[in-house]
Amino acid sequence: MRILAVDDDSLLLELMEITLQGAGYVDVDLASSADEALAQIANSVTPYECILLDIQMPGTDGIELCAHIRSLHQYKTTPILMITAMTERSFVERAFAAGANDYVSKPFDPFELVTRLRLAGETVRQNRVVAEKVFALKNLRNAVEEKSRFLPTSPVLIEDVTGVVDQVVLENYVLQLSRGEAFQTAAFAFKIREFDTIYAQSSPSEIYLTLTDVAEAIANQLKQTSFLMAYTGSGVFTCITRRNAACLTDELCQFIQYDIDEMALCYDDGRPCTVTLAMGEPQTKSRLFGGSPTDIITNAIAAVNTAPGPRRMGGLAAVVAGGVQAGAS
Amino acid sequence: MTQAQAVQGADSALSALRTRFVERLTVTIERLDMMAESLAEGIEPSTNLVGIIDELHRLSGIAGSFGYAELGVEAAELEMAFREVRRTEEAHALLDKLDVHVARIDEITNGR
Repeated sequence: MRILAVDDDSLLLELMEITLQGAGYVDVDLASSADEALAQIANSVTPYECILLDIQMPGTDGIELCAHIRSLHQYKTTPILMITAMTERSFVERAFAAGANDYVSKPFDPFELVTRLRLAGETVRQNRVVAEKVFALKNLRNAVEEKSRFLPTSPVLIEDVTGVVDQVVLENYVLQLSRGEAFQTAAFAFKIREFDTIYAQSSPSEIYLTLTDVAEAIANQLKQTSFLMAYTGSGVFTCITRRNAACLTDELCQFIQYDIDEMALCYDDGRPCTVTLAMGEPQTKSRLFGGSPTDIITNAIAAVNTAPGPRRMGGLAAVVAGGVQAGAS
Repeated sequence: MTQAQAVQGADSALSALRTRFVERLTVTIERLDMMAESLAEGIEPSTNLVGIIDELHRLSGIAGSFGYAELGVEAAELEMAFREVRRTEEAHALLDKLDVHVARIDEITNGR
């Protein structure tokens, strides 16, 4: 373990060096002032693994030096032990506040000093283990992020939101409807405005979570009726419900937008992520329809791409939205 | 180097350090005497007060490590007392105690 001992008393420094070497700590550097200590830290190729600091020194004292060292990136978790005389006990609290881990009483008992250093050594070892685990986790997270990356146009299955299914399942559902059921069915879609911008600013997990939040907000407003929804890519959610469903009102998109605004979505770095939703006109089939049964899905997606965004609600409208939600649940 | 050699080396280094400590006590006595005298005469009281505190602090921090635990404790007590001094008269009242302490240090330097 590389140790730096700092004390303005050269005799005490030498005594400490002899004691430490006697206990097997042979890699010990000495400094007789804060300036000398900082210079040695700056010039050290590999960081010190433990630092011993006298509290009372001329110029910058040990507590100020401790705070300074702690502010250095490489010394965030390095054990710092204060060497305190009996008369300095009142300073110990300040030393801990400045980032010290422990203290050794002066005149020091060699056994106490070595014991505390062993504890510090254990801290160093644990810090290394934690650092290695954090590094491994970061790598793993990056690998997962890369693996979960999807194109902005790709349909993605949103999991754990009631009523949300895979795009293929949604199409299969429509395909198996009888002629009568198909007539009773309406398809409509929601689109996240400026989805490409949000996509570009998000990590794969961030964009996935944003899509999940939006899906939840939509599902929350549709939950009183029977529906299926799929994320069909490019920020579009396509829904299937009955054409006479009570939820299909002019205000539906506003209510969902209100829920999304309430979520106060943000990116991992804390920046707000503004999600504005547009809703397309519901699409239905006439009794004498031809073409593919899945045309209503295609038409719903086409309709949302030309739809205007919702008016954001505030004041009374927001209260109404809350009331509708409360009534629906 | 064998363990026995290492222990012998450490003992000899400690012995040399102890000799230097005792030698340094002579300087400590001179400084304490000089500053106590100046303080008694009212010359730069705050500078001399701080100087006395520093000398006592240094002594209290190391004396115990060389087998002079009592001397270290006494130095620490005196240091505390001088730290609490707010007026020059209070410092004067402590100078007799300091004198006794210096005499004790002197005994060590004279090998008594």
